[in-house]
Order: sequence, then structure tokens, then C-alpha cells
Amino acid sequence: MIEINELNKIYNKNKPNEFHALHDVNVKVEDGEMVAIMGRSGAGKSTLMHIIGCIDYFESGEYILDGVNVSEMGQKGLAQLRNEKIGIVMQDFALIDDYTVLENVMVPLYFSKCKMNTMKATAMDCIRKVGMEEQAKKPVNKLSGGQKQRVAIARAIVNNPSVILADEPTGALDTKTTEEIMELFTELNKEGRTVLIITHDKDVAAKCMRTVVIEDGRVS
Amino acid sequence: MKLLTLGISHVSRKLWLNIFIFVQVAVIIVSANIMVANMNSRKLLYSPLSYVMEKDGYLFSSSYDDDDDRVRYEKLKKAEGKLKGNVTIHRIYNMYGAVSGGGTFNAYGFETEFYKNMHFPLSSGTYNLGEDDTGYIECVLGPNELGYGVGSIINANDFSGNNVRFKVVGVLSNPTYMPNSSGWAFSCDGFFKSYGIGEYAGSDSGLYMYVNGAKLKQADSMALYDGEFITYNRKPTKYEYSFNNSILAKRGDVCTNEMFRNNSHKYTDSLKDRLIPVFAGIMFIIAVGIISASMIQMMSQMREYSIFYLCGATRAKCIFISIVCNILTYIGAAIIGICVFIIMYNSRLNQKIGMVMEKNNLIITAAIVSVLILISALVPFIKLGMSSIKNLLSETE
Repeated sequence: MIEINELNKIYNKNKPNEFHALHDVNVKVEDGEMVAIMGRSGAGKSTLMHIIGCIDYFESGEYILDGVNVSEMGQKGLAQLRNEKIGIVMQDFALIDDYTVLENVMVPLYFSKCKMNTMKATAMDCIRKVGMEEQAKKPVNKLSGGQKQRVAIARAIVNNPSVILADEPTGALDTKTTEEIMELFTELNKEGRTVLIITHDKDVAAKCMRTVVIEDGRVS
Repeated sequence: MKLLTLGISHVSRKLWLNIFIFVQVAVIIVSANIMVANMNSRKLLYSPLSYVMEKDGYLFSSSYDDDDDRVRYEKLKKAEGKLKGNVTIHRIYNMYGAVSGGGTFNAYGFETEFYKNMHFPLSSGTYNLGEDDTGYIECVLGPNELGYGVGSIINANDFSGNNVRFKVVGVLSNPTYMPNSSGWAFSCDGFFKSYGIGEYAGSDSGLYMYVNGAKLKQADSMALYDGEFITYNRKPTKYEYSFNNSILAKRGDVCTNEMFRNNSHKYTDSLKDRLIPVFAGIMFIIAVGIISASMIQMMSQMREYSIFYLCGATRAKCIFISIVCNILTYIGAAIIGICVFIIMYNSRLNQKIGMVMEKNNLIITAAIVSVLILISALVPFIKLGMSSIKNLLSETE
């Protein structure tokens, strides 16, 4: 379960351009839920997602993930969470361009407890799951947007995390590809994973169990 | 092991950039080693005499007014007898003559202390030139084409026709250091300049030998060469100093140890004036190239590290991967650089400028590699520590 209590995030604190991005945000996501997070640009959706994904800090409040208070964790603990419990799909895919599909998907395995001789097989399973088996040895800079997104999803699930966070995963994709990607997320959710998706697209939000709306840094 | 594999695989990414850095680092290492080896070779000429240079005293060379060596020697001994103060004479002997079976020899005799600090490279044997009576005059021989090597016995006759027997205990390497002039140039300016570095000539040139002077003295007939060092065992009074100066000046050419020492340092340090600026310029230009290429590489690596971070790596793991990748590049370049340097060391370049490999060659190589590895680890260390992953990802997009 994801539990956010009275969370505040301030950019450029104590500087002239200080910006209070999140104000006393409270969010609770149960295990196995598929939740859409919507709001206008600059509302704080990505900021919230990044905090949940342990890739950004917050000034005050509480973040509890599966009973563990993330606010009290050190860098090593947060890295372990990102590796084992959370799979992140970024808006710009965050893939390494001159790595192949397989090499990109294997990256989280290098930092996990997965044995070296099983890494390739584990990665291929995930690549198969997202339908990219044929392109496994292709460099990702030769792929289309939709294909890159699939690779990003494969990488996000390679360590079998319980939570998947996706920031505008279909933002740059056409309708058909958007549907394919959402099917993937739905399938992953059916496997019991908690899925949080940031989206502007109402159709995408409609496929989720519920929607959390953020306006000016507050959950409405 | 997994991180090691990841680090190793990084070397093949941006291959051309890594090759560029590799070549630049190898060039720097070759240049630095040539410079250090040349400085070593100059210090080599000074080190056997360092024990006399540390004391007050003189380098004395008797005048050439009398052609007869014996007459010159007797005059020199008379002058020595008149010296005031507590002095030690460090005489330099010379004997020359004919080798039985053909050829000539030219033997230079110094005292045991001289040979303790003698490090002109040997191709075989040692500088074990002691004073004990062994029935032979032990010698370190110059390279020759007469087949003489360690263990060889050389029968010869000095210029008076007296028989002397030499036993070879060491052979100088080739190319080697030996005086260019017919003998030692015993003047402040000329001493080190008299040394040439070159391939020893063939069988026509005769045998060149270093021996213990005491052993030459034991020979029935010997020639005292026209030079010696005189050192004070305790600090002389002003009177003793000026008196001795005047006595020796009447008999020949005098150069104080202080002048000789300063001139030697000028010689050994002249590299600072001439060679170091040239090499420093070359290394600066190359360093700029390395830093530019490394910055490009590091910025591209920052993107990867931020993604590794996203996928669960810690800062320490990212830095480890960076170090592994850079160690391979820099150590590989160092190995190639050392190999190239060794090839140049054994080439004609050594004859032109003189090079001697010592520990400080390894030290300078290790220092260059360490600094480069440190810098390459420092940038990700600072960068990854300063920004959140989110910022890193957006900065490196």
C-alpha cells in the first residue's frame, strides 16, 4: 500500500524563485489498484510521482510504502526500493540509446540479487511479455516511440516490483499504440501489481479504477 | 562481478572516444618517462662523486708542464705534503698499455666509496671492485667485440712493459657512458660534458676499464692521472683554506668542491631550463585533449548513471563502474606507453640524450594514471551527490 500524509514539496527553498509544488498532499493507494493521476500542466502530478518513485525529495510529510516509512530511509534503502519494489516508466522513456533492448532491460538486474547467469533469461521473459522479442538485439535508438515505451515497461518489471509508476506513458503515442500500451498496464495490474499512471488523456484515465486529481499542488 | 562486467562493457561504448583518450594518455606517459629517464641519466654521472661533493674541498688537476707522469706525480705528492688541516686525498689513477694478444687497454682507478654509488648500467656482473688482494685487478669492462665478459682474465702490459692481470667482474651495457676526451676533463665546466653516451666502438678501440685505484697502485708501475679530489675531514680554518688554495694553485688547476657541486647541479638541473618546458608544453596540449575527451565521455556517462540510479544503483556503485571503465582505459594506455618507452629506451634516442630507467619512472607513470582515475571518479561523485535523480535525468536528457 502507498500512503502519503501531509506531504509538502518546495522547489528552490529560501531562494527568490521559491515554488511550493505540493501542499499537504494526502493520497492512499491500496495494493492492486490501478490509479490515474490527472491535472493541468504544472499541477504537481510528476512531482508527486517522482516522490513516490523515490527519485525526488520532499520537505515535510510522510510517505509509507508497504508499511515502511520511506522518509526515514537512507540512500541505500531508497536505491533498494527503486530496484526491488518500484518500477518507473518515464515520459521520455529514460533508455540508454546505444544499448540494445536486451541490455536496457537488464540494467536493473545488475543492481539486484539476480544471479549473473540468469539475468539474460529473466530479461528475455520480460521482453517477450511486452512483445519485443524480435527486437531484443536492436539498439533502442532504432525503435519507434511505442516500441521504446514497451522496452521501458519491460525494464520496469524485470525485478518483479509490486508498484509500477508511469509518467505520461502514452503522451507521445498514437491512438492505436496508446491502446496497446494500456493493455499492457492492465495486464500487469491483473497480475496483482499496483499501477499509478499520470495522464492528460481521459480515455487512459477511464481504464483505471479511479482517478486522483491534483490542482495547484493540492489533491482535490 | 556484475558491476565489474558492466564497467568493462562501458569501454566498448564510445569506442573511438576511448581510443582517443587511450592514445593521448600513452603519449603523456611516454613523454613523462623520457623526461624522467633523461634526468636520471644526468644524476647518474653525479652520484659516484656525491660522497666527496658533500664535503668542503677541491678538485685538483696538476699542470701539464712536465710530460713525464712520474715527475708530475712526485710534484703532486710534494704539494699534498704541504697541505694544512685534516684532509683526505681521493686520488684518481690511470693505467694504459697493451693487451697480450692484441689491442690496448685504458684503466681508470677510483676508490671503493666511488663504486658504492656507481650505477652506470651493466649488461652483466657487478661493480664489486674491492681493495682485497686477489692476485688480479678486478675490473668493470666496457662493451667489446674481443669476447671478454664476466670471468675473463686479461693479460696486459702497462706502458713501462710491466705485466698486469685483470679479471672482469662486470661489463658495461651498450650504449654506455664514457668520457669522450682522452681522459677526464677535470674542470668544473668540462667534467660532465666530457661524457658521451654512445655505442662502444669495435675491437680497434681497445678495452675501457673501471678498476679500484688501490689495486692499480699495487701494480709495480702505474701512472697517476692528473687529478684528485681533496676533502677536509673537519671544517678548515680560513688560514688553512687560503694556504692550501695557494699551494695547489701553484701546482695546477684548482676548483673548489662548492663550485664543482654547483656546476654539477647546473648540469643535472639544466633539464629544467631546456627540456621540461618543451615536454610541459607537449603534455599541456595533450592534457587539454584528454580533459576535453574525458568531459564528453563523462557527460554521456552521466546520462547512463542517472538511469542506473533510476533502476536502483547507489552513488557508490555508479562511481565503481566509472572507475572500472577508466582503470581499464588508463592502465591499458600506461602499459602501451611503457612498452613504447622501453622500445625508445633501446633505440638510438638513448644515445642522443641518455636515459636511465629507475624507480621514479614507475612512480611517475603510477602518479599520472592515479590522477586521471581520481579526476574521472571525482566528476560523477560530485555530480551524483549534488542533484536528485529527477534533476539528473532532466539535465542529461
